[in-house]
Amino acid sequence: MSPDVVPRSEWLPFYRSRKLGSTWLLVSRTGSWNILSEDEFQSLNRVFVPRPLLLRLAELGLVIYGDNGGAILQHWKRYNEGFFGGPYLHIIHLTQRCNLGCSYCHSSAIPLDAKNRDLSTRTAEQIADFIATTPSDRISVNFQGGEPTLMTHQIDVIMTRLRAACQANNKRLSSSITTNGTLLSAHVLEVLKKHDIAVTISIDGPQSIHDAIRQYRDGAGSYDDAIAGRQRLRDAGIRVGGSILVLTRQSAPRVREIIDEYVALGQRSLHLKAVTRLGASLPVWGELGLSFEEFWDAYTDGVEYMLSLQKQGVIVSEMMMLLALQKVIEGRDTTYVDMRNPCGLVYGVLNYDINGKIYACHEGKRKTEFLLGDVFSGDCAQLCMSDKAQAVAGSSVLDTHVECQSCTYLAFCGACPAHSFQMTGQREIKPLADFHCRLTLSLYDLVYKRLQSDPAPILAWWRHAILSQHLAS
Amino acid sequence: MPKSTLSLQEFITRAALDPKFLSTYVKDPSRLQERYEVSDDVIQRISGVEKLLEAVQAESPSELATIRRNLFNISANDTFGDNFTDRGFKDNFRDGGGFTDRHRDNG
Repeated sequence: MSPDVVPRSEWLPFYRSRKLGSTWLLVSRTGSWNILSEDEFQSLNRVFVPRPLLLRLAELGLVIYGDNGGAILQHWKRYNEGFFGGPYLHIIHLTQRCNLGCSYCHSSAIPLDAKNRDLSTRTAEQIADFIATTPSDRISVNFQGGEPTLMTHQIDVIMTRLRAACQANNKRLSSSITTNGTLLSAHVLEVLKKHDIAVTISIDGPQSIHDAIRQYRDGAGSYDDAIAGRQRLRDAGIRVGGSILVLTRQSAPRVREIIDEYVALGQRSLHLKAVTRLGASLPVWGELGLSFEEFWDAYTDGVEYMLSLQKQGVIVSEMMMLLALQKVIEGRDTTYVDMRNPCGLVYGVLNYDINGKIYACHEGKRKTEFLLGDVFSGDCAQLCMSDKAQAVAGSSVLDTHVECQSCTYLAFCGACPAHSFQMTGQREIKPLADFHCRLTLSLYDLVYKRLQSDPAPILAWWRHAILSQHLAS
Repeated sequence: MPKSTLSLQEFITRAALDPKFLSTYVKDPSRLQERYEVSDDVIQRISGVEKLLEAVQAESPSELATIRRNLFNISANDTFGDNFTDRGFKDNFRDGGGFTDRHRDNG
């Protein structure tokens, strides 16, 4: 036998392949990758494989050959580092009440005069104490509602208790709030500033789009007040975070206008997201909901437009594509809970309702299938190891699906059982038909095609993210 | 002629779009102050992250790989994430054209 070839008995494939134009993309289960020519790929399918090619793929961990098996396992451990360190993102619902009645509100918010729909001080204290028991060395709290700025006292209670607990146990603490921005009084600003809470204001685009979706209970639009609130935050020196831009059937064709609106507001990072089939959107899903194809058309149009703005010296990046790029370039997981396997259910995120009940994630709240327990009994570590928690989290493990086992992008993917449950009545996803699955396939194809054909603009996004992280934080 | 002001955000944007801009000023931040109205805070931040600045201005794949290790605290023995090693970089894009002409030349 020639020394230039290796029989198949001496190595094992550790890659999945995908045709990309005239080339073949190989990605390992641990996220390393390589691009092969057609000839190279065909030679890999022979009984005797060229040794130089095999050595190259072994060096990258795409085949198990020689003595690289142990190193591959070490890389796997590093790739998953932090996955099971305990939940770090804690979403707290402070109230179900809201002064607005938005058409797609996933929280099914109710009017301000409703009774017994707020988090009590006692439960707020219990939630803070429960969160402090997470095994994770970092805690990130996100306040949601209804309209969470109605509940400044509870915010103060939770943050004060958590800060003391984190200092005592050497944990890092950060916090954010998602608000409609219309109730930002001097007192609210004072509380936000006191606890260094970053703010996300939901703005759906230009006034005509925003006001059609986000209305006061009397039908008046809220755009002017939201914009004024955003300015008050800036004037007060409070951090205004990235925005989730929810696209509906009405707004998707106007994605460029929406991006322009955010750029004018000084936003430099956007998440283009399809409206979710939850809460208030259910009865009007036929009017609001997007098929995958409709969403993807708007998404790619938006991404192309955002990249084109670089010619004018403007960088505004799309978050999902940036996350995908970071995974591909940096060879590590980003810990983003919606794009990992298993997803962030339980071991990345927990969701706390106004009555102290704990759900596996934000989208699963108030659904029995995602209910894990409450803050009045046990601690976070016990909850995470419960049978129910493991079953719920297990429903997002993709390796159990035949379709996923052969998928090139398995290393990068993430499923959303809550979304699946809403669409099909089952937590378990249906690969290839699932929205998230189709999005992952399309997104990573787009990233690799861009890296092959026109890499400079998306690499500018990557540089911008790294520089911002290290210089501006 | 009055100098134009340069905020931290503007600096980051310019550097992201043009790594040469970064390399021009990182070695001697005082040059930045000669040309722009820029706060001491910005100068301090830039001066304090030399390692990072090397990363984003890196021109060769091996430079990127080394600095990526430093940035993300990756073991020197772990090469599997290194799609940017000299070899991996070149091999990844041997038929795809490389990231840029400059990178392809170096690869």
